[in-house]
Amino acid sequence: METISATCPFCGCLCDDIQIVVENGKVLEVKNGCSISKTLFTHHDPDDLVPQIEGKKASLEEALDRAASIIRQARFPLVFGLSMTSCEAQRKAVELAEFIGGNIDSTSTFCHGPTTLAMQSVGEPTCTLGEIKNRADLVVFWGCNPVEAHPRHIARYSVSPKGLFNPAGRRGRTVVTVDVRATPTARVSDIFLQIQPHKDYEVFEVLRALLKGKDLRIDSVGGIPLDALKDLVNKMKSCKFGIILFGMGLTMTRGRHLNIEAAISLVRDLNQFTKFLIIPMRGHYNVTGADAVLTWQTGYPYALNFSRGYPQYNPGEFTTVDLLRRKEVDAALILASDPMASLPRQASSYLEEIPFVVLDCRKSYSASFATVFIPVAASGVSISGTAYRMDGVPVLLKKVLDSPHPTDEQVLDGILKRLRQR
Amino acid sequence: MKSWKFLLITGRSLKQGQAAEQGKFSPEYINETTTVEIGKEDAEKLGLSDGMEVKLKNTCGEGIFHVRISQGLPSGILFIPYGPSANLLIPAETGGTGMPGCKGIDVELLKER
Amino acid sequence: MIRITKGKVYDPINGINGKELDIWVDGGKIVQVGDAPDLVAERIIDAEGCIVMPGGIDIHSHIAGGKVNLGRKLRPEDHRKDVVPRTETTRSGVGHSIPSTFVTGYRYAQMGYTMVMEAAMPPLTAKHTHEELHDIPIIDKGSYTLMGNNHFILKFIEKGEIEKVKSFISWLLKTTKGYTIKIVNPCGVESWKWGKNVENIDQQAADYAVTPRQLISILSQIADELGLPHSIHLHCNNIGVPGNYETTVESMKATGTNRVHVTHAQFNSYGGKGWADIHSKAREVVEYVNEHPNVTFDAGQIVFGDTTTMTADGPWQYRLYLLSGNKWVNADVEMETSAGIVPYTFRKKSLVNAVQWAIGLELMLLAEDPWRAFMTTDHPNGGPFTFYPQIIKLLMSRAAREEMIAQLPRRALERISLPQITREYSLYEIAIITRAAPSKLLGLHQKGHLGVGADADIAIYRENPDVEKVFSSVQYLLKDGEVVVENGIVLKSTSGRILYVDPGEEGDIEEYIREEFEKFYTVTLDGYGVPENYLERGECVSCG
Repeated sequence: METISATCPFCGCLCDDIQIVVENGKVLEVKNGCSISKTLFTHHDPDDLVPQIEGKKASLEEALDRAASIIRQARFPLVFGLSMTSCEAQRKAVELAEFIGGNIDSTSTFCHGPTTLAMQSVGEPTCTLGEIKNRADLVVFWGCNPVEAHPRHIARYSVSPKGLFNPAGRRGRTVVTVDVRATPTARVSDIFLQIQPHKDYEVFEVLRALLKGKDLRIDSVGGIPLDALKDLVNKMKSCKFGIILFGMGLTMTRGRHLNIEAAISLVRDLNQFTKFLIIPMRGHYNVTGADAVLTWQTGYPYALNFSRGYPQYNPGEFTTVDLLRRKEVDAALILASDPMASLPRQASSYLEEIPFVVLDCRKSYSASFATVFIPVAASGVSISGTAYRMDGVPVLLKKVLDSPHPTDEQVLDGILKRLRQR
Repeated sequence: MKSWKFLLITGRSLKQGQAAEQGKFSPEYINETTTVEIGKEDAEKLGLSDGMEVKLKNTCGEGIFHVRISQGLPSGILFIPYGPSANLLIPAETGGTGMPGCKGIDVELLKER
Repeated sequence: MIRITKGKVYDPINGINGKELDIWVDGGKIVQVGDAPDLVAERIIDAEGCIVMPGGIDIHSHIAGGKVNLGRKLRPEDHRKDVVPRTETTRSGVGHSIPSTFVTGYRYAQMGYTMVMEAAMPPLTAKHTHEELHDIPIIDKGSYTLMGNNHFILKFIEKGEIEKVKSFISWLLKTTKGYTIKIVNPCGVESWKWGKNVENIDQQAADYAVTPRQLISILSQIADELGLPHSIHLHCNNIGVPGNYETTVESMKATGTNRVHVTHAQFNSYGGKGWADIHSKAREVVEYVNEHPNVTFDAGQIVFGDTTTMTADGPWQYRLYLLSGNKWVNADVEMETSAGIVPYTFRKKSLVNAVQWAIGLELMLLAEDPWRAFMTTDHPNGGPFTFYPQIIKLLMSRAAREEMIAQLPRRALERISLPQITREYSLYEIAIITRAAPSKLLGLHQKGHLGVGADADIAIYRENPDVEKVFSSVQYLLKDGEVVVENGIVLKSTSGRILYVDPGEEGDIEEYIREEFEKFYTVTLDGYGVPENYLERGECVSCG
């Protein structure tokens, strides 16, 4: 029996204080982890996965040959996913996409892609999570529900921890949630503002107007009484350190990037009064790393195309949902993502019309429909590497259990070598 | 056939996150991702109770979901955890952003299958 | 064995000034200089009509890490005007002010540079910096670890525990695989965590009873005591603020006789009470440098055009956002530092920009000792590094300067002394400020010269009456003895070294800080540092 330090490869919190008790290759106990983390490590069973071609068992070599042949024959292929694997694999995926002159896109495309668009328009005043823990006396969760999506966020980073300049912890903070639903996060907040769907942009702009001292002749906006918003603005102006944490509630709803632009603009304006920052709550554990790797290697974080030999960036054109909905790509290589489960059916159904390859450490929907499925070792469970937390802090992924499977990086390299051989 | 109009929100739930780690084909995952949450007031009005099956449809597609009554939802709003079933109802149009609108989608609820 | 023959050699460390000499290269090193009848070369590089110099060394450039990458992400409009397709030997990418990693390596190499120091590495995200450095091909690299606003350093200074500061710094350099102590707006950035700043070097940080003067003094002393190959690398308080030259001079004084490098001095040599009467105080700053051999500086020259400013000086970047109205990124790093990014266009027609442009050149031209003056643009803050050839031309040609001065607002002329300066740098002096002196400044004995035993990092430029053309693109570049660039084309994408230090004076500081670290950081102490395997070709440079 031994205890191994681990980093949880589930959500963008990337908790690196997990202790795992292992005996004979089996996880006996997961200490410090949330309920998802516990399930992740205890349900890890890679042994029943085998490479498959068109649903039939194949050898790894056969699967790699077929994968390379699919990609070689494609005229406009897509490399997609990336967010549930290590940066080392992401680097290799970019190299492959560049070599084949294809498209490459990460799951940022349907989580915080709009946040990138907003950032590119107005910037982003942000910080690492420890700044919240050490300083924040006002925490605003807007369109996010960390209690369910980032289960340890509240306890480890944003609400309850005692910090260097906030020795009182939870008692030293006012917590506000703005959401359509009275989520579990709303229930642990001091103030809950229930907003109507699609009204976030308007509410942000009203807050900005109030901040600038404008007199507004309305009683409410987006279902929230004006007095409540006046109170919120006063709290924002008078806090010592405020933070907005936001999620899909802003990126996936009407307005998309415009909502985020409004949110960032409000935060930026608040800095004339006090310290105020904003952090997007990134979902998959290394989606931030996918943004980072693509950006340092190509200049752009997602929605990329290499047809012309250099990276071209165009959300709406080279984004996965659009490429699939318009039926433009003729083959796909998917790693560390399950688009058949997570994309709108109107888009993902097109995958059934084209050959596609899936690399995954578990049996996913996409894996079961794939022309070629290659099982890989799970990053952060069976292989070490680097991942980036939602705030851009790089964290080491550690190896806890052995895996019979190759890594994403090795499989991609195997495909790339075959492609180069021609 | 009588139907009611709602706005659909999709999103994460703790059970969905946990069940995905148990396996995408586990009964837990399938169960959680075919659940539709409805506010108490709306449920009473429509005569719905926990576990009842309803059909949701819109211009994108349709699916069968079972009802879970939720304290947190305002009237006129439904919630489904992310997953393949919710995705039957999400339009793939992205408005040039790459992002489909996964929250605040027009749907019709039918009590009959 | 490679023989480079018939070229005019400029090697100031060995006192060679334009003499025609053969250079013999083998096993990545220079093995012979001059005639060698016994040696047989497999390849002869005919350098007739060429200038032969050691590879260039940039001592201060922002090329890798979280802040640089946020800058890249922020600016698709910057990339789209400068796209770089893949070739058989190179990766694709983008250029201009925040090039992608691969392109950064290629472009430095194409200009004849073989080593570049990343100027600001936050400890918490040091892994990120090293991941990017890994992806910058060809050139050798190192990084300066940010320490001027670190909780533990401030706390130990406040408590008067100077030995602990020293141990901590030793540990932090080793842990982050850093090269020296970087100080950015000491105490000011800490105050910025509450939206504040310090206004002079005697104002305490918001949360600690420590002044910038104390911190600069103590850290410069520790750098010398640890025998770091490079001094403290200081970005002074009050950057960009009219009247800031006094702060700069006071900051240099604070180090006494300890070594200090004042970086991007142009941004810190302003006179005046406000933007309306801003004028050059380059002379006052340089006078102090000239009289104090412990002081070195780099220019931080601006280049007219569009660029992306990025520093660890959060409050300054916020101020620049307010001034420019451009988009603004701020990235505070818990317990240690901050960063800010604002796109900015330096305009010839702007009075302030014209004065800034003149100050950088004045600093370089008034500095009496070229061994203590370094050419930088503080890439990309003053402008992209790809403009170095233009700056070399301005330093070497009064006529080129006059041509530019003629385009500046007339009102700028009375605020600067550049028009009166007649000095022109020689090629030999250019070799000093871009090769020989940087290697000395960084304490590297095997670089910056062409003597026997030196790393065979050699730049061969085709002579041309237009010196800007000369330095824009090498005829040949040898890196570790291999020809990697020929006629401006990258033939081979090799990986360079990562240089770092381990002063070995950390004692038991890691265990001493463990409890407090884990209480206030959001990562575990054991996961904090940069493991060896991040450094493909790590090389520990000795201290003392």
